[in-house]
Amino acid sequence: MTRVMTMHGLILWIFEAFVRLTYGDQVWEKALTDLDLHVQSVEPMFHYDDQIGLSILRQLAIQQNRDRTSILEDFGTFLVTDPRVERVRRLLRFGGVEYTDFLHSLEDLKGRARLAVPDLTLPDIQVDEVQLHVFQITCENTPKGAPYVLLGALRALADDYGSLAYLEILAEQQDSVVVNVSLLERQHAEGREFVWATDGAP
Amino acid sequence: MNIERPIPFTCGALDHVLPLHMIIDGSGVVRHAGPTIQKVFGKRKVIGRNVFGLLELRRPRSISRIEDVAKIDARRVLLKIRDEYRMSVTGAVTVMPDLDSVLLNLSFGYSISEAVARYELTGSDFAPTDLAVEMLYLVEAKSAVMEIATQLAHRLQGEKEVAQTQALTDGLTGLANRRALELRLERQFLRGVPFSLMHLDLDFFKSVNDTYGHAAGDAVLESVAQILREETRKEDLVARVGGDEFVIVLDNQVYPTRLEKISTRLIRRIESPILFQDQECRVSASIGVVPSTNYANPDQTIMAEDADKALYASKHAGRAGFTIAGRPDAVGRSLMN
Repeated sequence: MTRVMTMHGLILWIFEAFVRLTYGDQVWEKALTDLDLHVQSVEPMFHYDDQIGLSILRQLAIQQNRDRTSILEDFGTFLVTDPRVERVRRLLRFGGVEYTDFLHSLEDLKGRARLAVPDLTLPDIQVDEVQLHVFQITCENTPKGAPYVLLGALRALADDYGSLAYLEILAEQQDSVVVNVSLLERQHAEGREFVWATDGAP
Repeated sequence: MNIERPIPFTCGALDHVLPLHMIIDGSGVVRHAGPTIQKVFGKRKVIGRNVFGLLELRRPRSISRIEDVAKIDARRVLLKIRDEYRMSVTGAVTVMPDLDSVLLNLSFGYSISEAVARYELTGSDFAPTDLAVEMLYLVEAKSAVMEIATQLAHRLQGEKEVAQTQALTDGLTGLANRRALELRLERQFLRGVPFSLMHLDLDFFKSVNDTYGHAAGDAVLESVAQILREETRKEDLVARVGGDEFVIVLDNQVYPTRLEKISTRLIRRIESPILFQDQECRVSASIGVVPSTNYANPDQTIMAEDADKALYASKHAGRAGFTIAGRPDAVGRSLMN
């Protein structure tokens, strides 16, 4: 018996924002129409069958003539760099003052996300510093392709922190994926400014 | 183990685990302050200052000298920072083992978001065990989720309004439908403002349908709807309640001469030929009107029946005419003659 995996609407919702803002409204709408899905836009507080997300991705890859993985990587980059979804970057940057702190904080990502949105389940992440400045990030219980989103986001965040790092997917197995991060220079350039103050402050 | 047993430590160790602490001597002077305290007071001197000049004790209020601190039972003190923002902070105080100095550790509590903004603090300004960062994270996440929820509420409201309008609108003509008419009449009776109920039925509509087809019939209905809209006021209601039957609620309009004028004008305009694909379609209308002032206690069912009777009187009198209930001089007054 196969278990039906579901994806939180927030994830699919922000993916929709990525597609609409990057490729245009028509591309998103065409993908959904071609798939004959009865929705035109995602409700952020609903849950969706994993297959819906995957089939939208497959459809986009065909339409755009691109690799699915490269679309997912772009999605990860978008989450960190696009000012229209600045909140995601902010939530990630709360993880640490430096890139290395931040990498270690990925282990807390799932718990922190759950603190804010109890029904949002992010992947299990384990971070090991296998040698000085070399990190292995193991993701488990992820929907297919999720580590590529992480790869894109981590690359963009290295820039954001002003660090120079080399990142690649090391091993891809059925239920776990390892991302390798080699930190070449901790403070390579001036990072992007990060103000800790939230909008909650008057 | 004796918990009062003194242990050796350095100020550096304290700075690390309690970056928001101060050590105050017996005369109330700050002898040492953690790095975040220094950051909060910015350019102002902290070391060597009297603590009561930096912080205002809000609770317990009775303490104004450092000697009295030993008498505080409460583990928790509430203070305000003496600067332009006057931010509330929570403090824990304890008398140090040498009994000559006091350790005060601060926390921003619910002021955390404001403090981070005001004093430009970052994650490294808090102790690793401090929940400040989790708190900021939650505030940030909560704001994001609130934003999404607000958007959702607005979207649902918009969709609800559209659905409501659709539920109360006749699809072909855009006029009100029977449901909308019922709601309007309920309100009309509650308001107690006098009004007239007009039933209008097209004449010769069937022959337009039979001769030119349903598309022509629909075009006729749309032009009649347009005429009815133009000839009524915003406060009136025009509803299509059947194939070629319309009901008009004329608000605060009960004088027979006015009702006659309105009826005459409506029939005249409906009678002018309606062009559909180069075909001239001709219809007319029969009208029955009843003003609410005909009754001591107006009743919805009786008024509707009387308006119908008036309409059928017009039909019997040879169509293309109007009848005003309760006016013998205006029964089936035909415009054709």
